[in-house]
Amino acid sequence: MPFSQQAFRPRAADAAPVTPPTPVSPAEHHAIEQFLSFEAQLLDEARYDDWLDLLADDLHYFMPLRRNTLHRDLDRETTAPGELAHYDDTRAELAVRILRVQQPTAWSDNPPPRTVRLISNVQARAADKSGEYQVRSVFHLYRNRLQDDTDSFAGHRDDLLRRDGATGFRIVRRTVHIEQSVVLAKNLGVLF
Amino acid sequence: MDGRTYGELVDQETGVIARAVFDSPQVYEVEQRKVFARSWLFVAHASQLRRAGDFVVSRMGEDSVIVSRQSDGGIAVLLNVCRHKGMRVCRADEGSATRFTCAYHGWSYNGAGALVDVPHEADGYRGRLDKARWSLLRVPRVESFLGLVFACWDLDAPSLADWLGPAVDLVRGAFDRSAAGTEVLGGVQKWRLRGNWKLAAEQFTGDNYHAETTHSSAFTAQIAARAFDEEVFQRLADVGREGSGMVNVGFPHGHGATVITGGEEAFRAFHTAALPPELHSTVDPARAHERLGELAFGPGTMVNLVCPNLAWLGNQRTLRVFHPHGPDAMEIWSWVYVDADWPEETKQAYRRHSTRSFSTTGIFEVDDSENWAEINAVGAGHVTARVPLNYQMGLGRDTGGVNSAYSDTSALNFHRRWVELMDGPDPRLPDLSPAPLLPEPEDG
Ligand code: FES
Ligand SMILES: [Fe+2]
Repeated sequence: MPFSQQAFRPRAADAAPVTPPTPVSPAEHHAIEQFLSFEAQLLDEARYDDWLDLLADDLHYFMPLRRNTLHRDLDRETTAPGELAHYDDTRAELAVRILRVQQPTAWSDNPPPRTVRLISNVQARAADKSGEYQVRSVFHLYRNRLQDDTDSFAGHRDDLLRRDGATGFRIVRRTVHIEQSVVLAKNLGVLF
Repeated sequence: MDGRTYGELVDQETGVIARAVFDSPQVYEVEQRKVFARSWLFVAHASQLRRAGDFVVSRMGEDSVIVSRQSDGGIAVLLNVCRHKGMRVCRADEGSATRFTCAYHGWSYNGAGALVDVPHEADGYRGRLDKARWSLLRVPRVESFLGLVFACWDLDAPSLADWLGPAVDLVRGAFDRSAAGTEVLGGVQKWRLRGNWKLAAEQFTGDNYHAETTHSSAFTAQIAARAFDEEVFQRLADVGREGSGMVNVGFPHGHGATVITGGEEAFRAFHTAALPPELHSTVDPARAHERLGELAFGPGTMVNLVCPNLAWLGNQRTLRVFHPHGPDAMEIWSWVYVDADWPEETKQAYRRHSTRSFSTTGIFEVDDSENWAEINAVGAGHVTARVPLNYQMGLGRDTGGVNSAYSDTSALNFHRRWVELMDGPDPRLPDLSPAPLLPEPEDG
C-alpha cells in the first residue's frame, strides 16, 4: 500500500530535526511554575476573588470545543474563534460567573465540589513583548461532588503571562484545550 | 407492563405521574421503539450541510445516523452502521465526503448510502452479493422545514406538517423571522449527564415556575453586575399572574411552549429582560412583523418544545436536542441559531451571550442539570419509586390547552402524547429482511 500523502502530521522531508524550545532562565521558570501552582490552589480552595486579582484587565479566557474529524480535516478539530466555545470570556464576564458561584443559591456549587488539579509539563518562552511569557502547561482536574459525582478533566493550556509587581504575574490570555468532544460531565462550570 | 397500559403511569385527572416514567429500564426500552422510532426527530440544521457531500453524524434516539447533502440538493439520512458486521461506518462528527468506507473490511458506501465497493468481491462472493440490498439503511422519511431537518423511521407516520399541526406557529415564530432564514453557528456543544431526557423535554414545554428558585443565583449575579434590572426580574417572576402577557400552551401531539400574548409591548419587555444591555437594540420585531404579522410577537419566541426532544429558547437563541442515553441519562446537543442576515457582530454577540447563559458552562444551565441529575440519582429507593410526582399546578383551569405561565398544563400535555405513543402501534420500519445471495451464475 502506498504511504498516504495525507499522513498524520508528518515531518516535511526538508525540515530541520526537532529542537526543544529555548527555555527561560531557571529563576524565571521557577517563578512561573510557582505562580501556576499558587493559582491552582486558589481555584481548588474557591478563593475566586483572589484569583480574579491574577487576571489582567484585558484578559481573554477561551475554551474551544473539540470535535472528531478525520486527519484531512484536522484544522477543524478545534472550533475556531467565532464558532461555539465552552468559554469565550472577558475578565468582567468571568467576574459575573464568580458572583454567581458565590451565591448560596448557586445550587450546582452548593454544596461545593472538591477539586484538585495537577499542573505540570510547564514550558515557558519569552513572548514578543518584554515582561510577557508564553506558557504551556498540562492539567488534570479531578472533581468530586455530592455522593458520587466524579469528573476527570485533562488537557493543556496556552497562557500569556505578564509580569506584575503585586502578584508576580497576571494572566492576559488563556486558551484551554480540554481533551473531550462529548463532555462527560453534567457541566463544565469549573474554572481551568 | 404486566398487561397495564402506560396511561396508568400518567394520571391526567389527579395530575400525578409515576416516577417509573423517568427511570424504568423497561419503559426506556419500549420508548426507543414506540417514541423514537415513530416520531419526526430533528437531525440537523440545513446550514450545517451547505455543499453537496457535506455531512454530520447525528442521532435518532440511540441510533447513530449520517445526515448528508446529496448532489441533487436533497438530504439523505443513513443508519451509520455497516451492513456487513455492524461496525460504525463514519466516526467523524462532520466533514465532507463522497464515500463512507468501513474501517473493518472496507465495504464502501456512497453519499446516498449505496454499497458501491466490496473488497475482493469476486473472490469472496463470486459476484453473488446483492449489493443493492446491502446498502446503508436509509431513513425512509426526511423533511426539512425552515432549515430544520427532520427524519422519521415510521413509514406510517403522518407528514411533518401534520405532525407539527398548529405548533407550526412555534417553528415559524422562531425560524421564519427574516427572508434569509436562520443558520446555526459552527460547533455543536455536546454533553452527557444523569437525568432522563423527558425531565429536560417537559421543562421546555413551559416550566417558568422553576426559574425564580433554580436560577436565583444567575439572576442575582446579573443584577449585581447591572446586566439586568430588578424591575425586569420582578416582571419575569410574576408571569404566572393573570394578564402577565404570557401563557403556557399545550399543542396537539405533545408540543408545548410559553407564548407571549401581550403583543409587541410584552415581546419587547420579555426579550430585553433576558438579554444584556448591549443586545437590547437587536430586539426589533419590525422586520419579522412585516413577514409574520402578529405571529412575530408570540409563539416560538420564548421557551419551546417540539415533541419529543427538540427545544429552543427564542430569546436566547439556543437550540438543543435532548437525546436519550439510557433510562437515567441524556446527551444534550446544543447549537446557537441566528438570523442568517444579521450583521456578523450581532451573531457573535448572541453566540457569546447564549453560551454564557445556556451551555456546558452557562450560568443558568448548570443549575438546570443539577435538578435533572439529582432527580434520577435519588430515585432508586423502594418507597421513592412509589411516591407519585405532582403536576397539579393549574389543573382543571386550562382552556383548550392554554393556561397560566405558571401551570403544568403543557407538561401534562406532553406526557399525554407520550402515553399515546407508548400505548400506540409499533412503527412500520423499512424492510430489514436480509437479502439472500444471488443465484449461482451459470457456468460459462
Ligand atoms: S463490518 Fe464493515 S466491512 Fe466488515
Ligand atoms: Fe432552567
